[in-house]
Amino acid sequence: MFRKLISHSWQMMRRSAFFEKSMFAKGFIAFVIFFLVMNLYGLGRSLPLLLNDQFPDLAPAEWVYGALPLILLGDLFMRFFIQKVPASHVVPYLHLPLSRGSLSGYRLFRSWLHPINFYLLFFFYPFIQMTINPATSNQELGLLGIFLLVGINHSILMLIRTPGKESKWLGFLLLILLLTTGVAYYMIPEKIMQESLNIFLAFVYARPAAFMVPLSMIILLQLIVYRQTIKNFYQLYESGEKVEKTAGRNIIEDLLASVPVYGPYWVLEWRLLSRNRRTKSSLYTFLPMSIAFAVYAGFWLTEPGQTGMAMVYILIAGGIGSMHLQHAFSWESHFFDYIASRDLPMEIFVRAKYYFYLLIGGIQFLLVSLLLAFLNIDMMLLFAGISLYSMGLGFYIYLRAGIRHSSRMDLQGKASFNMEGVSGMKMLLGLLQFLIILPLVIIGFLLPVPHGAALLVGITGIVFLINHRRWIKKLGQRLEARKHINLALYREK
Amino acid sequence: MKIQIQRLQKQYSGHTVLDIPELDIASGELLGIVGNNGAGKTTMLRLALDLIEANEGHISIDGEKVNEDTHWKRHTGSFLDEGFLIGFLTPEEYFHFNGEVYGMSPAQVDEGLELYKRFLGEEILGTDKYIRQLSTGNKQKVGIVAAMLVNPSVLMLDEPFNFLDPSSQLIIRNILKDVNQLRGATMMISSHNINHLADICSRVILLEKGLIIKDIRPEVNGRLDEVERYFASQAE
Repeated sequence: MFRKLISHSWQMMRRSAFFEKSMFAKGFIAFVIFFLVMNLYGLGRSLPLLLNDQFPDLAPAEWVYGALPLILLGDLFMRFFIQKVPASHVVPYLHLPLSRGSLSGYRLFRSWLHPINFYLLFFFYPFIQMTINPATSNQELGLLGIFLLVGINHSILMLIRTPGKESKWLGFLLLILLLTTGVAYYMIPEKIMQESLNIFLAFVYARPAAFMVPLSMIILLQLIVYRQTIKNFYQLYESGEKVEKTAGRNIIEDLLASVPVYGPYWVLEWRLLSRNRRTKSSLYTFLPMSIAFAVYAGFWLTEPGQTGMAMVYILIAGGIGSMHLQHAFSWESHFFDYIASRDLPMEIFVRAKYYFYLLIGGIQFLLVSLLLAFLNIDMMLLFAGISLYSMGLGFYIYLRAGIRHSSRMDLQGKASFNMEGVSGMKMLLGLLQFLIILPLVIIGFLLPVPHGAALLVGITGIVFLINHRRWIKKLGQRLEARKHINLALYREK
Repeated sequence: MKIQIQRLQKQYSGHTVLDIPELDIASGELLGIVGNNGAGKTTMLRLALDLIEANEGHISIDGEKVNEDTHWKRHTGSFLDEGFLIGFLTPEEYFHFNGEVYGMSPAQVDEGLELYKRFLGEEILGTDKYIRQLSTGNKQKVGIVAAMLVNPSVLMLDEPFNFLDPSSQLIIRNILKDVNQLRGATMMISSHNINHLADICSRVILLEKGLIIKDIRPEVNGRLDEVERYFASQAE
């Protein structure tokens, strides 16, 4: 039966809405995946040469294998935002005569299939080939060692994401570990790097203890998760019965409601975001993420040449896009029915939506710009340019594309805007947001003024910001003409 | 198979949503559960299927406490909500998977499906649609048939008449009657439709705020007038 459950995993993936897109979209997705994998592979191959070139005093192997704790902590940090481990896919099996043990095992097995457990291998495979001598050591065992270390991260995340007593103390322990590692790297960097290197060498020299320790940790953590999962199956049904703490008006809603004309729309938009699990997490993490970005950009991001800079522009614009614009894109939320079935002007609705996300984007813009003004003025100009671009032209693209977007947010918390809910063509339109900045950046590089690219994207954004009433009026008319089609499409879904 | 409830209590955030000191459901009995929204009907069924944990007391099926063993599941068919369905399977695949879990061969499943073909109609079988693509009413049909297809000795259904067209409601009413009378299955069925319950149930309990306030046997007490009077008084 376990094998049958595993085959369901495959069917679930194969038959997901994601794969029901057009061939063109599938091809594009395949290309993006291939591109990312090749990027990691290329980085693994080129990093030894780059490090040799930039830091000839220290071997590339010592740099990278010495930094394994940092790499793994970064990986763990990233998992908190990327790796979801929903237990809900076992719900349809709970009433059947299947042991809870096998369902818990099934959940554990499925969780291992997440791409985040494998991406580092695409980097380390070529890097190990370039830095480890196969005559004296075993490259494959080195890769296996990395996989085991990643497996510990995966198991830690699983434990944290599985409610129970253990999760709480483990979260606390992790915080201490993070702080200790940070302090240790600051106080005794050589010692830590040497120990990290030794651990990796123990893998490639096939020392059994090197494998036994992480393997034992994985088994122990997985066993705890296994037990916790069995206990937590009850919560899958009980969670829906508990009173939502978000229900009821709060200070933010009162504040939003007090805004003339747009207040009622803003309250609806706020409730939509704050009462949906996915949107809530992105809404509440945008401030700490902004601060983290400012610190990262302020200290570590330097001008890496024009090609690299173009990538930075795309990534930041895309990052801002995926943080806020995705919600703007999903404006045909459930309250759209309410608005569409009453005598409310669509232009006001669009403008209210725009101002709402402008407010959130503006808070982020001010916060990051202020921090960067102290840390790295070049990056501040760059970020300001991209933010203005995103709040002007970027928002226009998303709102414009959203008019024809006919899947909606689900307040039950499962489907906010995501790639699964969007047809192939509309998904590509969304992805254009990431790339459309590129021509402007290239023209900006050619301008004979310092920070030409930042200036050009910023000015473009300002033009759209100043003219927002004009383009919003047109969008309102388009949405008015389209609303009945959208409403009909929602019904069908 | 006999179902016994003893000192059963369920609370959410300190608020008691179900409190049944004792209830015995005899083997072969068809128990209807009625009550307004929030009365505790679904909670009772979820506890009976061990989907949620009781704060106190227990439910046993055939002498086996549901939260201590899973053997009873082999004889129990159930459908409470869409969460029981596997959306990425076609109805045929789901029926066969369900059958396999209960130890049935594919041929037995196909044979069983013949009995429900009229109820399932033409929009479900052989359409190559995934369950998630079906209408709510058709999903309801798939869930009910999957629960009955495995020839259960105990059957639990939550609002089985909901979302069904009038003809399908009558068909399922007759099927339930047959399953109960011919196979002797013990059944727990919650519903807002008093007429259907009056027609098929040998016993009906009325829940209010988690308490059983009436326990009626239609063949003894006549129609469910008492229950109807209760709901009428609530509406005034």
